Amino acid sequence: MVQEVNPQAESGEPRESHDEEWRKEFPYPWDEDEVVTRRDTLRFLLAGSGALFLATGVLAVLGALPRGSNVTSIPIAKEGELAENQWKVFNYPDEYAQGILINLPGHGLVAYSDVCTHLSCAVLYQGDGKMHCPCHDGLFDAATGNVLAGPPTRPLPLIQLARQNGIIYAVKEIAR
Amino acid sequence: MSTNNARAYRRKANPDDPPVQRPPRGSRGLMPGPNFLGLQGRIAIVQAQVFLLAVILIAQLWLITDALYELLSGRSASLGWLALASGIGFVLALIIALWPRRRIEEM
Repeated sequence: MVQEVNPQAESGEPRESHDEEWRKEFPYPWDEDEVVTRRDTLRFLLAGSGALFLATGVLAVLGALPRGSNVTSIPIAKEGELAENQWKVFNYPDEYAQGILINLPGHGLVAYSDVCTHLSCAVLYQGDGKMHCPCHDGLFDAATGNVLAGPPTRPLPLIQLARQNGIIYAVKEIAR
Repeated sequence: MSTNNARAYRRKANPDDPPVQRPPRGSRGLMPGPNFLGLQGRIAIVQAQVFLLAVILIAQLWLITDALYELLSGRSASLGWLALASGIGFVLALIIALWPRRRIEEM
């Protein structure tokens, strides 16, 4: 069995060196010191590694749990309210989050979450088929929500729309 | 300080340092170091174990940070892979922490 390391023996110096003059001038009370050995550090690191593995596993389990339905039908506009290339911002799915509804030529009404996937600034429609994030000049394609330029790496979440009795409803947000 | 004293002083960078020795030569060539089965060798092995485990722990910290970011971003596709990578790190840490001690005891 490997023995615990004695801090005094660890230095590997000959015994007579304890009589050296500098030790007398600068005595150190080893017996009063609370020594953390290398093996203590090793055990601590091993326990930390296990704890991090467990925590990552818990996050994976949380991610795999079935989520509640995110279908919330909210009226956001009237049919014909927006002319081509016009846009409006609406609250969805609650008052703390917003989406952007655009009447895009050739595509009709499209809606996305207006929260930039880079650092959560609000994106604006430019009128040329592109959405612009003013914070860091991110550009998104208004037809697909995909990133065209800038620092964002993920597309904007899509908001599904439904029409009923001349009212446009935001139905569901689809994270991508 | 006389010349002789200065020469003797230069041999030791630190008064606590043990005198430098050449590694012993075994049947297959140079051995890992002087007294590698003794206290000094064991200290060196534990030192290396601590270093390797620290590197693994840093990698696992990065993995859990990424996992948390993915989870809070609403994406869970890569969470399983991140947990698996962290598990591999833990197994490696176990091997590094436990295996050399057995080898030393066998020798």
